[in-house]
Amino acid sequence: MNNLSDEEILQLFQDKKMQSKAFAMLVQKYQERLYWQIRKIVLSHEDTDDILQNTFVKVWKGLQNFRYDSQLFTWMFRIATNESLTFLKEKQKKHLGYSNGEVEEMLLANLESDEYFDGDKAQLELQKAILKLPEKQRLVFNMKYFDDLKYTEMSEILDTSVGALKASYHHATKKIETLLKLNEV
Amino acid sequence: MKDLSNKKKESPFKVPEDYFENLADLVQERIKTEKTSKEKKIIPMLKPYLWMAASIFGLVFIAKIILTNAVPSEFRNPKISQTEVSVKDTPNVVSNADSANSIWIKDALSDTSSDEIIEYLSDYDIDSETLLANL
Repeated sequence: MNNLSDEEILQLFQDKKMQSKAFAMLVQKYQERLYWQIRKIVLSHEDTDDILQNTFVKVWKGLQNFRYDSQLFTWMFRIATNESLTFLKEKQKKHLGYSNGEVEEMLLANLESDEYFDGDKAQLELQKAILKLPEKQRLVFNMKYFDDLKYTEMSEILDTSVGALKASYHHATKKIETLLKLNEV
Repeated sequence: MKDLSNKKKESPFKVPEDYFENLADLVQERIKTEKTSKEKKIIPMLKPYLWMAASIFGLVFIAKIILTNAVPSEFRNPKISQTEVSVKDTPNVVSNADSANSIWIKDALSDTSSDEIIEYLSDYDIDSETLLANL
C-alpha cells in the first residue's frame, strides 16, 4: 500500500472514508525528506518537529484544492521552506533588536547544546560557515550540497531561475571554502 | 578539508528513536485538535452577531407595539401601506376617506335630535332627491 504513486494517494484522499489513511501514507512517504529540509534551516530537532507538523497540517488543508500546477512533492517542499523561514523571522521578532547575524548565532549556540547534534569539529565549522551565508544562498547550498536536488526542482521550490540558482550555489561554495580556510579546518 | 568536494557529506544531525514511526499519528491528532478548536471557536465568534440580531428584532417589536397604540384604530388600515398607494389606487383612498368622514358625521349627529335635523334641512331648501344622491 505504501508504494502508491502521488496520483493514487490523491485519488484515495478524495474518498472521505479513506482520507485519513491516504494522508497517513503521504506523511510516511515524504516525512523524512521534508524533515531534513527543515532541519537544515532551523537546526534544532524541537523546532523542526514543530514546523514539520505545521507543514503537514497546511498540506492537509490545501490538499483538497491541490491542482497539478506543480508536483506534489515540490508543493510540499515549498510549504516546508516557507514555514521554516517564517519561523526564523518570528524568532527574530521575538528577540526584537537582534540582527540577522545575532539570530544565526543564537541558532548555532542552540545547535552546540542540542543533544540531537552529533557532528565533529569539522562539521560544526561547516554549519557555522553555512549560517554566515545570506538566506537564499543558504537554502540553495543545503538543497544542492546535502540533498543533491536538481536545479529544475529547486527552481520550482524557490521560484528562481536555474541560472540564478547556479550562480547562488557557486558563490555559496566559494564563501564557505574561504571561511573554512580562515578557520583552518 | 578546505575543499568542499573532499568533505564527507554525512549529516551531523540525529533524530530521536521511533520519531518517524509516530509522526503520522501525531499529525492526525493535531489535525483533529485543530478541527475541534475551530468548531468551538465559531459559536463565540457568532455571539456578538446573534446579540445584535436579537436587539434589532426587539427594537422593531417594541416600535411596532408603540406605533400600534399611538394611531387611532379608525385610521389604521393594514391593507394599505404608503408604498402600495398608486394612481390607480386613488379612488379606494378617496372612498376610505369618505367612509372616515361619514363615521365622523355620524358621531357628530348622534347628539342632535331628528326634529332639529328636519328643521335645518327645510331652512336650506334641500329636497329629498339631493339628500338621496349624497347618501
